[in-house]
Amino acid sequence: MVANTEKVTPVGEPRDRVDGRLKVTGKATYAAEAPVQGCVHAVIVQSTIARGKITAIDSAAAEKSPGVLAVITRQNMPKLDEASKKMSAEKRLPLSDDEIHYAGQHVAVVVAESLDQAKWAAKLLKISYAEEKPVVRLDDPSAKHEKPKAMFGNEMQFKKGDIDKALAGEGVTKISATYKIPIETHNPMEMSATVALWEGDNKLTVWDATQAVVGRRQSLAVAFGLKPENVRILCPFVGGAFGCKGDQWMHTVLAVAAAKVVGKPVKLMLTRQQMFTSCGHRPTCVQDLTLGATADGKLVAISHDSKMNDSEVGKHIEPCGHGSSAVMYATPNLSFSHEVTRTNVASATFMRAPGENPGTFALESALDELAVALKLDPLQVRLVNYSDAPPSTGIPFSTKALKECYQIGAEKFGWAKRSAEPGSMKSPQGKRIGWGMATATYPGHRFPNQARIRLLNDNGTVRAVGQCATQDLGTGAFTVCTQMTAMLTGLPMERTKFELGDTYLPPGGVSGGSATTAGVGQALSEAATKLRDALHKLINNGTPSPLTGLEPAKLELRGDKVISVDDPTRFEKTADLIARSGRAYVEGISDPSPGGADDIGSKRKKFTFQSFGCHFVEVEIGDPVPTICVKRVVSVMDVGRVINPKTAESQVMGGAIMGIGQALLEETVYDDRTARPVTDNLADYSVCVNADIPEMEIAFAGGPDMNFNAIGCRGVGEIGITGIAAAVANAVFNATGKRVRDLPITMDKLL
Amino acid sequence: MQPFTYVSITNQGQAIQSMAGNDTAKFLAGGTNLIDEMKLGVERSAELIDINALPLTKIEKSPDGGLRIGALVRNSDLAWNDAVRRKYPVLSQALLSGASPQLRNMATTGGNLLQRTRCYYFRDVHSPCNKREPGSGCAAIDGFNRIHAVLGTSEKCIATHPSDMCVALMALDATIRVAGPNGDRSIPISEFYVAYGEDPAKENTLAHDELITAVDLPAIEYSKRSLYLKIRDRASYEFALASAAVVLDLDGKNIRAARIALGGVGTKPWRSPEAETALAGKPATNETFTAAADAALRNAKPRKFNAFKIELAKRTIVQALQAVVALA
Amino acid sequence: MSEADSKVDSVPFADNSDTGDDGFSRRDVLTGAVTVGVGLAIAPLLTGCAHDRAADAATPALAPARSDGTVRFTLKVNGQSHDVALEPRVTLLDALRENLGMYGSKKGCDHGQCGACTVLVNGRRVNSCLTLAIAVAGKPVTTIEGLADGDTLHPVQAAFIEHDAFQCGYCTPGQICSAVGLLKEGRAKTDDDIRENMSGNLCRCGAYPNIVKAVKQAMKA
Repeated sequence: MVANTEKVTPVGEPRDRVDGRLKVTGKATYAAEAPVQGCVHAVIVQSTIARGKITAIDSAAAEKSPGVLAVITRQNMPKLDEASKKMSAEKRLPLSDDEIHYAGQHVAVVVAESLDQAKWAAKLLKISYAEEKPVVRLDDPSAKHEKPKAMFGNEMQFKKGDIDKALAGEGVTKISATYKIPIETHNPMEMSATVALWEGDNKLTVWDATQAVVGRRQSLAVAFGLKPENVRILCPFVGGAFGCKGDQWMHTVLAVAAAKVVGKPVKLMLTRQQMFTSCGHRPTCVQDLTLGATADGKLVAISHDSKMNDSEVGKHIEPCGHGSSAVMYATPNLSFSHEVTRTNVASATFMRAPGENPGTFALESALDELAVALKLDPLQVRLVNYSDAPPSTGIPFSTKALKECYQIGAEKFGWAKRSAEPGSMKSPQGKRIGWGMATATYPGHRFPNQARIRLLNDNGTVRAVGQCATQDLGTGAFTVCTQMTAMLTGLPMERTKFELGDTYLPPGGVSGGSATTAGVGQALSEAATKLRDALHKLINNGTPSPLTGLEPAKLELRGDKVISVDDPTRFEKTADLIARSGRAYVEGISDPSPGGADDIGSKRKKFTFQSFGCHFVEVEIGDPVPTICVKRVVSVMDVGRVINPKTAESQVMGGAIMGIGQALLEETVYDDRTARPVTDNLADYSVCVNADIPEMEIAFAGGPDMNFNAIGCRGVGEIGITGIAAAVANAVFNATGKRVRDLPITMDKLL
Repeated sequence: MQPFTYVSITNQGQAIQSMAGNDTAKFLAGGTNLIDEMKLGVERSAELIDINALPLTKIEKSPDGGLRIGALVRNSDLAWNDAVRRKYPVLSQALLSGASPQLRNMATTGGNLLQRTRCYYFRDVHSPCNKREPGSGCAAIDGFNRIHAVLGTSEKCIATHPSDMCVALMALDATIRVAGPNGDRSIPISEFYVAYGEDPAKENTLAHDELITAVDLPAIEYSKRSLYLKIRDRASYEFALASAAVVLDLDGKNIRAARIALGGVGTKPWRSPEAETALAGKPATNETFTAAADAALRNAKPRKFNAFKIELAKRTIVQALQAVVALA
Repeated sequence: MSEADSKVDSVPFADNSDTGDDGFSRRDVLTGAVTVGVGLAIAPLLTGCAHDRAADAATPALAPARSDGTVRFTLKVNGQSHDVALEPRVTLLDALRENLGMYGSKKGCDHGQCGACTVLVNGRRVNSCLTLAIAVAGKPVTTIEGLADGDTLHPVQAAFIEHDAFQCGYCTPGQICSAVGLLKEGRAKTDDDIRENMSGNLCRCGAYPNIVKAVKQAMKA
């Protein structure tokens, strides 16, 4: 770790976003806005049946339609390397056969000079199908089920102790219930988009709305048989993602293929409707929970069995039990399982807190039910079962400030004044009020990243540039990485900038799993050490210096000066040292990761890195029409070190708001007969609007997790959406006495 | 969208003339519904006749003390008009509960009268729909029909009329003024909409070459005591699951007369004489309100996913009546 | 605005000149990109400033459709007139983005269901995705690009930065144009009024409470 992390630094300060000005002036450019002239437009045509085969495609009318340059179907689709299947979200390559696995599967691409021409010609395509009866529901007798053993090396089927015996124990209260969530769709405001530009047959530049520029470089290079160094992916801004832009989805491949076919740069933006079937969703999850506890609320057993669906070509598992029951509460007996049912519904994928989100809805609802059954305060039940290590592994949490979160949250919310009797609290207008709470949790992830920090002498002014091919999905990565670069160089933010979203930069990891800040922060910290070493070399290159002879560890970069740690009066001007290099800059680049100095793997054998927090929610129920209105939310999170409270609060708040939408509104309905999505637009798939959301109070607790990385931060992007749906459901119960176990909690379920 | 020709017209007679015998032409006003449906392929017009330049943008007092609203008055302007807010709060509230501020700035009075259903299957050209393609069947009756109608349905169509404004107009006994090749005519709103019977494609009694020019609101002595209650999943920017427009003539604690119209539950903006009869001459109590609500929904026909709407609509009526009675 | 914010304008990738002789060759790559596109330039539609013919007329006279179905007319955006030749079916949103290269207005649904495309026409907020470009020929259109006065941000823009009223920024131009329309309407008084009157603009990142704070601040300004 670099010594100067404790000095005056913008880290920890609520700074405005460094890209704010670009965003409020309309100058931030998203993928479809790439500075490429002469783009032609591609529009995807999708299957209207959910299962069967294409028997014919009549493209004559479309091809004759004005402006049309190409109609790409299975017949003329450029050959893709089979190996790219492994690097894609689906097991099947696009337009590779006549099989239809789900409605909304891509079956053709129409390319035309203008967008309107392409859209119209796409409607002229006549596709004939041999249709078969689709499997829609998890309980369809003809459905195939799988019990995956592991996901990313994590056990998906787990058993510890003896659940049945524990539940049969004397004085044990048992509650058992099934919790359901429907298919939920990410719906970032920016639809997925790709601009593909070939230069010759071997060089490819792609602007893609993606959470992983390096991942896209690799997957597209393999798909099209290119050297990765000849593929460049750019993604300066992403209009939200939430998981649906993480993997290699087929429209990106199709845009690149279309550009190859027509020999012109191609722009492809999915329609909002297509977003529902083209880039994943959270699958429907049915979770059977059984809890057993003694009269004091102490858990003796948790059993958590989850069933979910995915398409026949999908690869997703929603690790509900693994993300919740496996880590949250002490219990001597624990089992969880996961089962995937293959349905003719579009492929599923990661969506904000995959596993943790549905898992906490179920477990945190069940704990509330347990509290009711035992006549205990729900918060008390959680405290009684507080754990310093996950019950599944026993490897202690590196840091955990959940008790502090509970305390702060309860105090801010006024939890002590809660009446447990359903319907007993009333608003001044006489409406029923309900209070609910739940625990939030999300693991500390970080992926391999490499970073560079470069110091520039700009006419005597020292400036720093940090670089990593990571992404800012709206998370604030631009800003927090600038802050960390400023901290590590001792320069003010005004003289620091950070670059991301371009594979030209040192390779970064996927911006998923709330891993960006922790991972890039680690890499930046290592780069800063390398930068210090480079400065050390310049100090000792023969030119007399007040710092000559000091070990690198005794040197510290403090912006305009490099000082002696032991005697800060000994220093040299940074600008002079840069000048001495004979170049315009001095830089440090962290080791390639993995394989460098950073060894997160061995740390995980000693520590469990996990964030925790809690939500407290007040709802008001209308009368006689039981409209549900969220009136107050207090969320307190321990996410390790908070780099920027302003952007971090926004992340937690945004997560909680998406969770309120999940609790009360969101559902992608599929027609039981046709397996076609019904609510596949933003009028019928309701997400929260401004009027649904009250003022919210977000706070942080705990301190840096220095075992996790050199900065001490864990991620903050996903934890906000965990637990919140349960907190809302628990509040609705407190107000009405009705326990709604299937989301969304719409008012018809309260009639 | 399919290619179409576009003409902007400044003269009303010309507008009607250019529509005559031109089956594939449509008038373009606010465009919020038409352009949307043309993008979906639900609406296919080869020619759009832009009528926005016609001088139909005034709100004027009519001789009988009512209001005449030009067909091109935007929803937002109508909602915020002083006379409307003062004399017909139910209309102002209905308008402001619909869509979004942006869409209300675009949408017109005439256009709103012709708003098409939000039935998922109607809007999906790959589903059978008797309204969009007569004779093709109805995907909604045995499909996902949570948002669908329980009143005025047939075995051919259960699509809900989506408008809020029209529900208020229904309660206010508005009259639709129309110009056509054979001159002007007035259509009471009760005769403007047709219930979905044999031909769900036929939604109203307007001829293809007729142009809505204005909506007349009659003077109603007690229309100040009126309100619109809209119930939906989210708090704004969403169509109604159920709504009620109520106008009450209150004599102390007794109801002299009432006008009740429902939205979100009928295949057309739904006036309920049954509820009105149940209220007239009765004390303004919850018992009366409940009886009226029961009467209004007596003939409702539930489907698999929308049965809740019957109870929801009843409670909506009761809540609206409680609120309208409580008004100062 | 702090110096930091204005510096950031140079962050994106088209130009990295301030890193000097840094050995980064990415500019070459980008130049290559543009070169390839040059032959296919969209010049016919991008004729820039032209004489403001149509602006005065209450109803602009439109030239008849040409053989390719396009019609010549003038779009007046942020005070500048652009002569365009577009098919009548082209929406204002697509015309701004794909023909004028003004990408500030965003497409989030293309069906009037999200508000990301909100612009001001005649000073009133509307959804540009449901507005035909030809139908607003000659009418003043204001987009996000036209709100700031040089380097001085519109009070709503400044308030959005200060209150972190956005995350990904994709709904932001629509939110801001909508808020400017709201201020002009002058009807929203309370926080709840702001919430209701900003509900035509979805924000999936969930910045709503901060949007309310920002609009409230701009309202006071």
